[in-house]
Order: sequence, then C-alpha cells, then structure tokens
Amino acid sequence: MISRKHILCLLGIYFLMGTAYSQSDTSRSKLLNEVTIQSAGTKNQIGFYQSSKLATTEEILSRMEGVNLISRGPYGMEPTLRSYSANQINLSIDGMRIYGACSDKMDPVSVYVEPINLQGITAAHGAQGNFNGGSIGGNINLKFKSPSTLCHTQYLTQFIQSYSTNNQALSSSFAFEKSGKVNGFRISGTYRKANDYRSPDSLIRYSAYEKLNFSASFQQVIDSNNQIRINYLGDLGRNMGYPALPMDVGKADAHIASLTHIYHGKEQLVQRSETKIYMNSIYHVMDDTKRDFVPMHMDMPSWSETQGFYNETFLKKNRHGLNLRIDAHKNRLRGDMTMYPKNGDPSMFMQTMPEGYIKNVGLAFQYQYDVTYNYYMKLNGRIDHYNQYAVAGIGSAQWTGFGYDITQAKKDWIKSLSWVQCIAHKHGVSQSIILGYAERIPSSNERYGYYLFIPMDGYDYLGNPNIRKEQSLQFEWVLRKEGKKIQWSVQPFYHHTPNYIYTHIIEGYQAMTIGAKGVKSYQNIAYARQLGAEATFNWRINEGIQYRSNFKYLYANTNNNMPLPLIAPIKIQQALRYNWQKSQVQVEYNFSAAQNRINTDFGERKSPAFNLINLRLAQSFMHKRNTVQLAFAIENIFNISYHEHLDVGYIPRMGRNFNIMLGYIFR
Amino acid sequence: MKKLFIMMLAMGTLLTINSCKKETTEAKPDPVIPNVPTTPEGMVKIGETYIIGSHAKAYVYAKQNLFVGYNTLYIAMHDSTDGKRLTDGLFSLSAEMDMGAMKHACPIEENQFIDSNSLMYSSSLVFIMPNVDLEKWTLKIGYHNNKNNKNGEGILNINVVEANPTRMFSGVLPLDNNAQVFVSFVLPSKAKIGLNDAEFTIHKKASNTNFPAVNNYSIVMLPTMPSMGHGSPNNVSPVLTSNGHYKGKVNFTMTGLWKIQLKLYQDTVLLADQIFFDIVL
Repeated sequence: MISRKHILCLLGIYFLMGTAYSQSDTSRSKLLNEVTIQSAGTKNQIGFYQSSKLATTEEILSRMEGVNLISRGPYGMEPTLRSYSANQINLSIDGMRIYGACSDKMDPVSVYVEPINLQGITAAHGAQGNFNGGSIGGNINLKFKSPSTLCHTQYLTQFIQSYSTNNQALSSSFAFEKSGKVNGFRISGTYRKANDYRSPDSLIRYSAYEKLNFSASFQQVIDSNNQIRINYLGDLGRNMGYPALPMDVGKADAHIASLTHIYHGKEQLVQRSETKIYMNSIYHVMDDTKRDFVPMHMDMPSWSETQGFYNETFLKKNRHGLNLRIDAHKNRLRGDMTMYPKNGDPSMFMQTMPEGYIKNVGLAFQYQYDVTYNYYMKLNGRIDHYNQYAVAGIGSAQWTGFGYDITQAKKDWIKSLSWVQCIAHKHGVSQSIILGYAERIPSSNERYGYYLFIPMDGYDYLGNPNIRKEQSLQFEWVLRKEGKKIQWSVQPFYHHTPNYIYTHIIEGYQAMTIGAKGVKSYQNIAYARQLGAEATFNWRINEGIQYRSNFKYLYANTNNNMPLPLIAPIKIQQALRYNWQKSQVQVEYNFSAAQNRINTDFGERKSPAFNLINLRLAQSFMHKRNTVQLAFAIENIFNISYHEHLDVGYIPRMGRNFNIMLGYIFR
Repeated sequence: MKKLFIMMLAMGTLLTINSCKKETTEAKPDPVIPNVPTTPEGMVKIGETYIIGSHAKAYVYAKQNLFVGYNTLYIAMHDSTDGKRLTDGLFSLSAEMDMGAMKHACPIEENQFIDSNSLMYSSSLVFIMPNVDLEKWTLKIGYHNNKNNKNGEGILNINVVEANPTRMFSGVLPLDNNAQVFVSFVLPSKAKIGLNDAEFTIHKKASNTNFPAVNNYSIVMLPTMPSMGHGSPNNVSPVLTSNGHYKGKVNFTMTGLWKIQLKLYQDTVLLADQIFFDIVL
C-alpha cells in the first residue's frame, strides 16, 4: 500500500499523466461544468479557478499558477507560462498539436475550447511539461470532455445562459450526453455574442465579437480492454474585435477532429495505452472594413493545417512507472496579404507567412521510481526532430531579395530532460527539487515571418532563417504542505536561457506598414534569465468558509540587464467563499503591482498597480436529480480603470459589469 | 404526346447530323503549308521580308511588340526557295526613322553571328521615338548567305509604339556638355517578387546616325512603392558591365506598382535624378 504521505507527495508535484487518467471520474460528478485544474497546485481547486460557471477558458487560465494572459482584445487572449509566451510553450488540445493560423497571434488555440467541452486543464512548467511536445516554457493541455461508458444508461442535459450588462454579452451553452454500457456520446455547443465593452471612462470600440462553438464525440466499447472514441470540434468566430490591433478578425473557422483508441490493462504491465490520429484546420481572415481610419484596405487570410498521431503507453511494475510517447505531426502554414491602394493603383500582394511546413517526430518518456515510501524520483525526457521549410512560390521568392533560399529545410534536434526528486516529511509537508534542460525551435514567424507588423512596438518584423534554437537550464524548488485545513506551497524557480531569441532593429530598412517605425528581426543573444516564484495559501476556516489565494512573481532580464518584455508584475489573487446549504457567496480580490521594469526596445510603458474586487453569488435548487443554478456577479465593483501589463496597447479593461447566469442540469 | 415524339425525333436527327459533321472534319487532316516557320514560343512576329540578292527570307520576332526603349529582335533566316533554315551567313541590321524633313537612326547593338542554340540571329535597338502618323521606322536587314556566297538586303516597315509604362528616358544633361542621353530599362524577362536583375542601357546622341554607348556614368537606383511610400532593402545599384549596359539587382518585396528612380552621376557630379521607371508586378 502506498502511504498517505506518498500520495500527498505525488499530488504536490506537477504530474501529467497519472492523474490525468483518474480525473475523468471525479469531475464528471461535479455540478454543471466544472473544470479540473492540474498545475503546480493540487487538483482540489475546482471552482476557485472558474469564477463563474460560464467563464471563458481564458478566465480559467488566468487564475492558474504561473499563467498570465497577453490580451489584444477581450477575445483571443494568449496564455503565457511564467515568462514564456506562444513560441516558447506548447499549447495543445487533447494532446494534439495545433498551430494558430494568424501571423499576429490573434488566435491562440485556447480559444477553440469552450468550458462546456473542457474536461480539464493541465499546466506544467518548464522541461517537465515536454511530454506532449518540445518547448522550454512548458505545456498547457486542454482536455476535451468525452462521453463515458458506464455500466448503465444515463442521460445528462445541460443548459447555461448568461448575460453581461457591460457589453450586452449573451452567452448560451448546451450539452447533451448519453452514457451507456457499450457506447456513449456527447454533443455540446456554445454561442457567444458581445458588443463593445465599456471601460470606466469610455466605450472601447472594436471589442465586440461573436462566435459559435460546437462539438460531438462518440465512444464505443469494443471489449473490456478496448475503446474507440471519435471527436469533432468546430469553432466559428465572426467579426471579432481586437481594439489593440489595427485590424479585427472577420472570420476564424477551426475544425478539429480525432480518432482515439484506448486500451486499459488489468493488473498487467501495460496499464493503459492511448493512440490518437488527428487533423485540424484553421482558416483565419483579418478584416479592416469596420475601422474608421484605414490608410489602405487589406485582405489578410491565413491557413494552418495539421495532421498527426501519437501513442502514449503507461507501464507499471512494482515501484516503477513508465510513460512512453511517440508522436509525429505535420503542419502547413500560410499567411497572405493583399493591399488595395485608394488611388486605384494595382493591388499589392505578399505572403506575410510564406507557405511552408513544419514536420516533427518525437519520442518522450516519463519514468517514476518510488525509491522508498516517502521518496521518489522522476526522470522526464523528450527528443524531437524538426524539419522546417517553405515551399517554392511567392513566399520563398520574397526571401530571395534577402539572400535566403528558404525552401532549403532547416533541421533541428530538440532535446529535453528533467529530473525531479520528491521527499515527503511529517505533517503533510513535502519538498521537491527539479532540474531541467530544454530546447525549442524558432517559430515560423521567427524564421520566415515577412514584414509582420507588431503594434506593441510599432515595428515590422522580418524573420531570420538562420536563427538557432533557444535553450534553457532550469532549477526549481517546491515546498508544500497539504493539511486538512491548511494547504500552502512555495515554489521559487530560476531559468537560464542561452541563445535567447530576442529582437533587434535592422538599420536602414524601411517599414512596409504605413506608420510603422522601422524593421526589426530576431537574433540569438548570449542568454536571458528568468526567476520568480509562485505561492498558494488555502485555508478551510470551517465547513462553510474557505479562503484561497495565490501569488505570482517574475523577474526576467537579458544578459545586458534589459528587462524582458511582457513580464507580468507581482500578482495576488484572493478569494473568500462562504457556502451555506445550496448558496454560495464569493468575494474576490485581485491585486496587481505596478510594473516598472519595462522593455523599452519593445515599446513597453510602465503599468500602474490596481486592486480589483468582484463579488459572486450562487444559488442552486435541486428537484429529484435535476438542478437549477442561478448565479449573479458584480465584476470590478468599484469601476476602477485599469489594464494588465500584458495588455497590448494598454487598452483599459472592462469597467463594472453585472453578470447573471442561469443553468439547468437534467439527468 | 405525338408532338413530343416528333420533337424528340427531330432533336435526335439533329444530334446525329452534328456528330456526323464532326467526324468528317476530324477525319480530314489540316493541310500542312510547307516552309512557313511557326513563331517561336513566347515571341511575337514583327514581320518578314525577302533579303533580295541572297536568296533568303528573314522572319523577324521579338518578345513583345516593339516599343520605345530597348528591344531585342530575333531573326530566323530561311532559304527563299526551299524554305530551309539558313544558319551559315553574316547578318547585319540597322533602323531608320523617316521624319520627312529629316531621318535618323537609333542606338543599336548589332550581332553578325547566329546563336547556335536557337539558330536565330539577334540584335538589340533602342527605339528613341514611336511611329507617328507618317513618321515611320524601317529596318534594313543585310545578309551574306554563305550557301551561295551572295549579299542581299531587305527592308521591313515596323511599328513602334510608346511603352506604357515608359521604358526609356531621354533628356539633355547640361552638366555633361548638354549631351542628349537615352536611358533604357531592360526588362527582366518576367519581373517577379523577390530579387530580380535590373539592367539599364545608356546611350548618347552624337549625330543623327551615331548613338554611342555611355560607359563613364554611375547609377544610384532607388525602388519605391508609391502607393505605400516605402522602398526595399538589398538593392544593388547597377554598375557598368560593357557597352553602355549597367547591371544591378532590384528587390521587389511584394507585387504591385513599383517606381524605380535612377540618379546618374559622372564622377561625383549629379547629372540627373528625375528618372523614373514604373513596373507593375
């Protein structure tokens, strides 16, 4: 038998697979659609992360440890892990690789999963998060809700509606699930429509959006060991405003499909094996026709198509656990831009993202050895081979003007290794030491991007085909206590990042975008370093009252002591929740310190501190096995004007907002 | 019902007739007219003329219809009696503009010898004005046919039009002794996005019949997109190769309208900077 201390120790560490398997049963029984979070904290934080039952996936992410969001508008926020953003982390859906189509990063793939079809989010920092794919910052995996195959037939129907007064946002979700002995299916959908929101001072124009998200999955039991699952998710976004950017998104269509085979072993060496083949396609069209001042109309469609597969097998014998993964994927990316001069001159065309491919094969393992009853170690490793190239065409011809033949493939081996040691002490206290090494390939933007305008610093960006991979040496220490009433954790970390990919101005180059200041490109600098800490404190004061808080801090520099851009300041998020019978009251207090360490190269400005207070009330009514839930929230009660430091363009966030939510669940 | 039947019958008959006709036309092969050479791919035919005296006939082609600026003519020489291709002989070419009151020639790069790959003779000319009403260009083609060792000459009226956009600049340069110069933009065979060859020729007018190449200028080239107001990096300003030709590289970073500005220098003296060539990709 494994001791209790050992279990605590297990929980205390980021672990991707073992608990991911067990979570499906625990969360299904939760009321409405609650999301299991697995990050540095324990998995008991359900609900705390999800401020309302109809919070967006981004809102849930923003409350996770070590996660911050880069915002370009109210929609399509880009998650970052600690100081690492898009190119440095691996953001996956159900273990699948998906690449956003937009060259301006308007479509991080987290927008494609709605909470109603979200089973859970796992986030793992640094080299440990590399089981799904090589990166230096870690992995965020959004796991789909899937139908269950229980011993008896069971139906579940769910409707959730919410309305926000600030931006007249209406949100409707439904899900229908049938569980059965031999098969089960689940369909769900979400429709969101919002108008421009208001900051305390003004109406934020171009912040409206509309989208429809729908998913279907079917699961068939073949025999007592084997199951097959088919999953489809579609996401249709329309007229989504990005107030911080010069253009909006007219249309963003994503289709994500997969076929999964799941094998469950019984008391065998192979405990579980999952094989998935998948494909996804994203079509993204930017739109400037709704803007007042457009010096020149542009069409900017882009495409991203990915096909891949993976197999994950979990073996266990005595005190040894081994998770193996083999995967491969291929991505085609292309971004076009056509400009139409007002004076009737001929239209101008170029590929901001030259049509090209990324091909990848990877092997990963996670080995865990339970050395004694209170000490275990874990070794995670991954090796990837990447092949990145452009196809012969306009996009590659453009680069001939810069002396590059980008049809010549760039091949990289990407390696990652991490070593975790965890020891459990008395009274539920455990500590872990994590050492890691990771690499990442330069993104397509960083290699082949062609005059991509970044409004943050107002420069056009040219890729650098010769840029080398970025590396990272990582150290982390986790101290954690898991008590009945009190849980807390402290986890400082230090990352040293040689060959950090950083920007520089190309002197003498003229910007292409009207109004841009110049042209920048990427280069490897000697190193960057990132250090920081996360801490949590949760206190169950009595049966009804619960207090939770978390703290995030980051400090990041280049080798020249220039602060790295897009580094969030100190943040403290606190919530006090009172449960009484079927009622709940929650007060949230979010503090963000000022960020005065800014990267002037990137056009950053100092961001002031702010204090944000939200109030949430919820009441459930049960009738037989049916539940009705009514929730009411006041967000930004004191109507303060604020912005997060990671908000592009420092557009003020939403002012006071009243939100009402009504949910039904029928069984 | 009966009507319908008749209609169907009629239609059926029509269809049969049609199909019969088709078969008969297909069965009859097109008559092959001997000795008329086909226009080489990617070229247009400018004209043909007998080279009187040398038993030859010249078929004149160009990559496009002749325009004011730098043109290259390609000439296939055939035996005027049996139509066979003539490849052994010496070729000469001149052009003349008859303006009534006066006549003048133009800059020309003659080439006596045949190109062994295409089996065509070629020469390049800078037409310095278009045909205007009765003012017309004529080509004078000379050929020494080695097959019969006879000289001959043929005349061909040609039509030269103003290019749109302009392919040639002509102007008087006060700082170079009021020389009248002709700067021509030699088109890349097909301008494409990315790096392209940029070639220009410069000639002077010495007399109505003498237009020597200018080999002592230097050029600074600045391509811009007037619709957006930006240029492009990594251009290489043309430098003299030989015989009035200046070669460089132009980087078209996108399609659309590009304006190429040239500044002409002699030593360090700026002679002219208002020379623009438009090109649409």
